[in-house]
Amino acid sequence: MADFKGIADQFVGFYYQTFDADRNGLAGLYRDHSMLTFEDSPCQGTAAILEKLTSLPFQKVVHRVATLDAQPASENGSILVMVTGALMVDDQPQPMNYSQTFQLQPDGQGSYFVFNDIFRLVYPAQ
Amino acid sequence: MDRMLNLDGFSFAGASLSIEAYGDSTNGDAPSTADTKAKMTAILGKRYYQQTKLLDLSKLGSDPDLLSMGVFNSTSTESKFFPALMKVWEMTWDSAAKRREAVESVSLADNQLANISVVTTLAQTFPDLKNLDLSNNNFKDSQALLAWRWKFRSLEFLDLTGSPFSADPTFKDTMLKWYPRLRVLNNIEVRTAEELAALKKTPIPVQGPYFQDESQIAENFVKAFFVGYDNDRNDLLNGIYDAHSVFSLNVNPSAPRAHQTGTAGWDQYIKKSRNLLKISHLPARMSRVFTGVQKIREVWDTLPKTQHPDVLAHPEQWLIECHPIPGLPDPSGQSGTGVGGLLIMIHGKFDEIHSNNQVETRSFDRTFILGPGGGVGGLRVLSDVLSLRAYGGNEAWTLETAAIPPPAAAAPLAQQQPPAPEGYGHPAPGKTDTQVQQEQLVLQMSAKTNMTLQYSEMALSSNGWNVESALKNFEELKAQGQLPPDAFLPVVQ
Repeated sequence: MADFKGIADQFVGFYYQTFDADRNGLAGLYRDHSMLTFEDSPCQGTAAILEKLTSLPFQKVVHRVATLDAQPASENGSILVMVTGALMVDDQPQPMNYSQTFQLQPDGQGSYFVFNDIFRLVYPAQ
Repeated sequence: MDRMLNLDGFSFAGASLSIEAYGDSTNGDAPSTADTKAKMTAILGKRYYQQTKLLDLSKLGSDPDLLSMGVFNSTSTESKFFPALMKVWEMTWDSAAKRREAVESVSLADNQLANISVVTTLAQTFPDLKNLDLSNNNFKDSQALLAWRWKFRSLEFLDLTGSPFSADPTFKDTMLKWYPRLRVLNNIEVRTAEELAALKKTPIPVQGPYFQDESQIAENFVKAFFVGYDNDRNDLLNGIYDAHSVFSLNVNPSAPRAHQTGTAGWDQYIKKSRNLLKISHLPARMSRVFTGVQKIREVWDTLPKTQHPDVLAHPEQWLIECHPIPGLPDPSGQSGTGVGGLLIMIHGKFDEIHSNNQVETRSFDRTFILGPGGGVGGLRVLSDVLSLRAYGGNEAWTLETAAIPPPAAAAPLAQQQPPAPEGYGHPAPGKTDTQVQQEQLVLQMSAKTNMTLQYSEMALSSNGWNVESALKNFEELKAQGQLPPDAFLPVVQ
């Protein structure tokens, strides 16, 4: 079995760093059958997902991950990753808290891609 | 002792304090607790206006009943008086919910308070207060009110007229900063309804849950799971977990808490918390993931007893999402490409019940992967990841557009599905993952537009499988009358 914990660590670090720096950089993580659900607006495929992510109504964003856990999700090597944390957008001082679940799948070439990406705010800004 | 005696002559609540050296006083028998409680209940009764949800605690110092009780006769009774009054008020109500409902406004006007130290427990008893009248007191600056800096998060009306602090140039800005929902300060509007609405809006629009079930499997699972988890974890484990099920939990101690919830620690969880950000040591990581019924039972046995709210009776307290997923291992070993399952994400709250009957409310986020198996209903839990945090309420998933009727927003379990051929939207041998997910989008599009599956698919494929653009396009075409009648599903009477 692959080191799913190390992969989850690396993935989450890369994902949020890229998300906060330049959302366009996330394109390589998705495939044409990947699906993103960001507060119930599911989009499928790299192009639609990128369009969704880059059109989110904020410029600056900073994620602060509070917890990260991962489990192997199937025998073909996919990994279930669950993250909770806070994000601050633009100049809003109050962070919003979120929960995000990923299913990562091996791409057959020694790497992984995001098959499911499900984002939810769980506590609002005040 | 000398310093104490110096306090003689100070006043609280308009009544002079008389502080005498112990032994000089001619106190008779101390009144019994029950007697004090009855008197306080009577005083509260006179000062509570049920119709307007107002508790009027103004001019306490000249209240003849309080004076006759001798409340202000010594520092010790004086300092205990207000907390005791709050305690008596709390005991008047048999549930915390009723207590919160009962009062929206409190007046502590005309009490000659120089700071809030003697009345600070008001914030514990009335955390959701909307209106607070503190007029005609003697607060000099923000320091005098500092203990309430993070209290009263719902406060809309605050009156501090008659205190020197009101004349301070920073007064208005400070109060606006402290109380995010403050609308009226010293009887002047300081935030308009529009400004408040703008403040409340989150930069990320909140939308309803995505719930794509398969033959009500997820629905039935969720309904049964938490009842089982609360009442008989062993039975639940034997029913739907097997030797390959994996469970882990983690604690997010940095998540904010709502209201004035308690500050119980995480002692019972923290040693099992598998937060890979914090734990980098491989053996610790491995020892905090529990595989198989036996291991999971051992850890569940150590976790506190819980009580989750009823899913059907309190749908607003839950947010449940479900996505069908392909490619899970087939327990029968017949399908090499794997079988379909469900990825379920649940956000909600629960009460933790301790042996001393103390109750602690917490929030949780829990993700499951369900697949076909040998358990109850032909199911098994493959993965169960539980994340715990301080109680944060359910505001986050309350839709901003309140115009949407509650069934759609509040009852994810009752979502209507359009008619579709059996197996549509679900993984099956020979079907690609792409196809399955596209079918799911078609179902969703159809549910939102009431168009047939065929037209929903056309709408999506011509919009790059982006639901948002497809919906926008649909609205435009519909407005232009360009959609034929047979694009829509027959109306069910």
